[in-house]
Amino acid sequence: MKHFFECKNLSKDFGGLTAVNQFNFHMKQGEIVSIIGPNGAGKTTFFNLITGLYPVTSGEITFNGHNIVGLSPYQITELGIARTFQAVRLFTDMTILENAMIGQHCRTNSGVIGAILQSSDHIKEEEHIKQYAKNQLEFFGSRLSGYRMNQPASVLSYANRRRLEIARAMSTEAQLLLLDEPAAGMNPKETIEIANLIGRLRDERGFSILVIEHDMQVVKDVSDHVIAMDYGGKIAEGDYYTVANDDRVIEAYLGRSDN
Amino acid sequence: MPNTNKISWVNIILWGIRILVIILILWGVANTIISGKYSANNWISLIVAGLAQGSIYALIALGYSLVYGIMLMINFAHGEVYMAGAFVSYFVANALEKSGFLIRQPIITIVILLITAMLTSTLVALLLEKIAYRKLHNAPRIVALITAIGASFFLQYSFRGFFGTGFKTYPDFGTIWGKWTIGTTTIQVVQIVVAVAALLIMLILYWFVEKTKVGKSMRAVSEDREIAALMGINVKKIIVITFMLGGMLAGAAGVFRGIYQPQGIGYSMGFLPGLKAFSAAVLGGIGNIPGAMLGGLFLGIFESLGPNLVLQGLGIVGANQLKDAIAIVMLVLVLIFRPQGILGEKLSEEKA
Amino acid sequence: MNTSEHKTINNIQQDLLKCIRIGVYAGIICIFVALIGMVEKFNSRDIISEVISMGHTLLVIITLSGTILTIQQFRQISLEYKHSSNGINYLWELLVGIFTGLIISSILAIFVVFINEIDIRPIFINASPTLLTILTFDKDIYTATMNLLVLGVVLGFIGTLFLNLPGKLRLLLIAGISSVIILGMFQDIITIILSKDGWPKILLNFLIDKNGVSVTASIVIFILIVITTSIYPYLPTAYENTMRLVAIYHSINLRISMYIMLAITLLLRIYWFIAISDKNLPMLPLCREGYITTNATLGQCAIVVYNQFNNVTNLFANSTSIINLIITISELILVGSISYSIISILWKSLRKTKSYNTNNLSELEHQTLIIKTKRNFSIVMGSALLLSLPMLLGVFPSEVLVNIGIYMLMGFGLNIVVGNAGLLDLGHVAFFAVGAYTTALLTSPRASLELGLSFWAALPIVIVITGLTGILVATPVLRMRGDYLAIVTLGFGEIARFLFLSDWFKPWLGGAQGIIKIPPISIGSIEFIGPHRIYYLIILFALIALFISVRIKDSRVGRAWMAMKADEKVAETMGINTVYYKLLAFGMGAMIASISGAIFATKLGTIFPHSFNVLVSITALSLIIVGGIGNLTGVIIGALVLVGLPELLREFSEFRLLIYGTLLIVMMLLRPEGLVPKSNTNTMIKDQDLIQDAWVENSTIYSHVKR
Repeated sequence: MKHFFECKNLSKDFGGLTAVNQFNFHMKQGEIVSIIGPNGAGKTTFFNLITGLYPVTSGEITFNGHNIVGLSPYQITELGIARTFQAVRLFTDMTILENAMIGQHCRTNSGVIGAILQSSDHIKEEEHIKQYAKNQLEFFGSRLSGYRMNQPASVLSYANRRRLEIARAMSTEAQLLLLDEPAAGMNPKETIEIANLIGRLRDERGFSILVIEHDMQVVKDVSDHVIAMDYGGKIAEGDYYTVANDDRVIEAYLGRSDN
Repeated sequence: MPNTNKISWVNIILWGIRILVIILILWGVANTIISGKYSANNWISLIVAGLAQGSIYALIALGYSLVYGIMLMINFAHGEVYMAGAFVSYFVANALEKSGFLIRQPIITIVILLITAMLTSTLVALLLEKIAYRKLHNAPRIVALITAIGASFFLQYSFRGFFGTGFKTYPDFGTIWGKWTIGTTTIQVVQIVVAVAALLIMLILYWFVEKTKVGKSMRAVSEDREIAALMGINVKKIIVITFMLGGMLAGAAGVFRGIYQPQGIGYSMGFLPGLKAFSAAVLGGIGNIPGAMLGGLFLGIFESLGPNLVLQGLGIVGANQLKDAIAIVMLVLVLIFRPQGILGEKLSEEKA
Repeated sequence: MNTSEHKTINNIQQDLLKCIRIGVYAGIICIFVALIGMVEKFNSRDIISEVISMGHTLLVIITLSGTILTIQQFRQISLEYKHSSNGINYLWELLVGIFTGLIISSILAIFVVFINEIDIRPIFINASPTLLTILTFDKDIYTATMNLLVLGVVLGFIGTLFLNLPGKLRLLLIAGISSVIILGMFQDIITIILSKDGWPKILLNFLIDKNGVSVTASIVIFILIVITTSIYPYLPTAYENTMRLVAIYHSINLRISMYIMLAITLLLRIYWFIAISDKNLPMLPLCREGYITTNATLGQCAIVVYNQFNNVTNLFANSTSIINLIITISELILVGSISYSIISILWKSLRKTKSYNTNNLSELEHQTLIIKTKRNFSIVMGSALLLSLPMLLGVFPSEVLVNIGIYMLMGFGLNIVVGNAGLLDLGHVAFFAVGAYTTALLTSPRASLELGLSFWAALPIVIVITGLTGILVATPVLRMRGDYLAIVTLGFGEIARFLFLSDWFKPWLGGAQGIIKIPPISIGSIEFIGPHRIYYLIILFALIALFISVRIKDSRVGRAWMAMKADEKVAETMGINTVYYKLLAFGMGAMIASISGAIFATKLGTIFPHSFNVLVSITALSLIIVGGIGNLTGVIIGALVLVGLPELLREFSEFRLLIYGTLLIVMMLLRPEGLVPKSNTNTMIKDQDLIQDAWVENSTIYSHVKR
């Protein structure tokens, strides 16, 4: 049977250092899967491999039946995978609305000629992009929408930048969202909100979500499925309680206890 | 529906260029050699000339490489640092020639010239660092580059204002020393002197960077500036020293240029050699000291041999006019096919 | 107490040290400008005739700025340490100011003595006797030194005084003095524009004396500018009120018909200007030779029209007079309708038959109407000015405008590459050159291809070929990082020149001799020869380029470029094909530059490889940077200042690149916006965020998640 998203024997070498090692993984549509693991376990590298930022050393990644290994990042986004970054990387010079509008880029195709002539197609499409982006921003309530939409992204607070990054990813009409530590650097209240948000993303917008997270409370609250990584490989898999109580996971986080 | 083939058309074009370049070079070389227009002696003298010219490039390239290693910026004005040394020591050379000292003591003259030029170039490099670059340590590289371009033109036209637009001519050391004849090959002594002296200076630099404490600090800063600062290294001081070293080397290169090619000392003399030396630094692997030396020497030889060996073989008229283009074409080829250069290691995303 | 006072004195000593430093810098700058020849060059012209020369003005300005900077620094420091009382502070300031002036002047004095004693001319070619005369005011060395020192003291005093004036007064002074200086600097061009019979000549004689602005004129101008500046704050309100009156009391039909009238007049004028008149150039309106000369009045205009009708039999034999007649009539109607509308507005507003609100319009509609009126007014007036410039200014200033336009066009192209897409391109001249050479090859009957196409037939080919060249150049450098890309493009620019120069391509491109006999652009029977005609083409293409740039900037493509410029990797993960957009940017930049090159080629009629050196690229780059990267208005202003000034001021042209270099450094050090993402320190909204987040309820965890 074909999985919605699957990695087979995925590996990545950085000149001798194996960041991801023979990683096998699959998820169903509509699932929320969390990836946990200590720093340097290869989680973000895994995301970079999926989104095509790093070339894959060996193995394959299939999404919706397409092999996406070797595709350019933009092609992968076109297929329906969008991501956020661990260190928030917004286009700080652009307005909040424009940031969200960028997401729609791959779903639209108006070009230079249309823009110069302001053809009716172009105007319609611009209107559509704007509307779509606004819809995504409104998902976050008044934090990103309203008068703020036309202000540069640089004025946003840290938490709101993270939200805008998610909104930008949502605008790509992706099916699979990759969230890289969405709760990092947030206070407890914001963390609860993020957990809430991840649930809503799936239930209201129908995204499948793969999330890297360190906050175990968030992991516990949102995940259908948890994967623990260490040294580039999978060390445990299952629901939250199984993984959280797995000896190898505890060892990875706390070090070997019997020495 | 995005296409799912794994080799993008950019790759195909790049492979095409690669193959084309190799075929063209081979074709040109084969043609020239078959035509038998040049004897082995010609080739040897061309290579020696190339080495002399290349050692000058290497000295300048080292300045680019050192600064790039430490500050990750292309010091575009480095060509003008070199020009400053050549320009100012011209006046000294001129005075010494008129007093007759030069004929009596050519070697001491050269030492005096070197000291003058090194001092001048160091001064210019330090001023550059202090006025233009100091505030840009953490600025985006494009900002630093534009500043450097501004500085380059500022220096060029200041010198033009100071010393006029006319080209100056160094005293002719070539005739003082004459030529050596080994078997059937004649070599200009000047070329040997320039190449050997430049090599010596480069060896001293290499020793300095590898063995002394300051040199080690320099390497530490180029590895990771923040960590180096945490380890108690005065990064500001190291940057100043780097610029000083770069300036000294460029000054020496300026004098050698004057000795080797007496004509054409002028305010705009730094632009092309600067560009070429940068190409040489990239060829050798930017940030890498032996790389810059090798890159410079290679470039000198390519430039010297290229027009006769390859371009003429391709049936190009007036091949020597295209000599200056070789460095740039080479730069493009290196950046496309081996951006890390001959000796450079693969650079991480932040560095490259 | 005692110790703190002691500390204060210590600090003042420190302050003095700092003053000395700034003073020394200013002194060195004085010597620098003297040695690179700026002072001597500038001295050939007086700002105020027989009173002060431009060279002296330069030195005075440097000294004054040095003093002012020092005192500002002094103030900052004394703020930090809170000096005891204001009175002492003023005294100290005065002392510091005078001291700084003295330092600067003594450095200059030492320099003067030095070049008087030792002849350094064999090395520094500008340390000439002329320079010495300028710096010594043609007196013997002892008096000169004393004079310099006294001058320094006086300037220091003036600087201090100036800083202590109330802000408003200072502004007035600056405005007045700088406009006199500007007038003095531009006296050549003013002379050229105004040397026509009639009132211009009278004005000119009043304004410009032998070698500078006359004393009376400078006083008058100073007073005028001071008055204008002091009423300036009221001008916007006055403008607003006028527009309101126009919007309310002016019937739309009348307004529109006036606009149409103006358009017709202008177009006719331009047609007449381009197509027929060649002898009567240059000219000002209402000074046309043979029709209206001195003291033109409406009455005399009527006589002219009457005369024209008298000669009606000759009219049809000579179309020139017909057009002249039409122009005169339509201009008369225009003048009439303008005066009518002024009278009617005044009349209506006096009678106050209708108040604002009873005009059947809501307040909102009013506002939009006013905004519309304002916009229409500025568009109409702006385009009228733009289109009539060559007529107003004459041939030489048009030449300058054309050069500005050529660079502006190139700047628009480069702005797409650098400003929008964030790719630093230092070889833009290559595209300019390809445009020029392709045009030459296609249109010149003497070129190797012997095609002899018309410009308009060749232009599309030129654009396409150059666009392809742009893509060709960009392909190998696509994956390079910003600064490497810059150097490689610079290299490409140089390679292009080498190839144009080389014997290899000589059979096709003519080598160093270039290509000659490029025919002028023509539309129908009109040939665009001479800058005052080419101006209209340049304006046309510049407006098109501006239009394209504006439209693209706010489109999907523009956003993609912006994203790519900000963060290439993220842009790519957000679905932007960065390869495509880089190529697109290069292609479009090249296309716009090629138009510029094409016009350049036809303007000169001959092209040489030497016209296409790296300095062209640097100029284009400087002008988009000085105006603020990515800013289209900036491109226009940059071109006007950086290209226009050196052309108008021949003294400046020699130091053009020196000034560009300085500007590039200064711009990058002070405001690198446009290249750098804005800093993330804006806290305005963050505070609001905090408030907002505070009342986010402790929401329960989403229940659906747990199953």
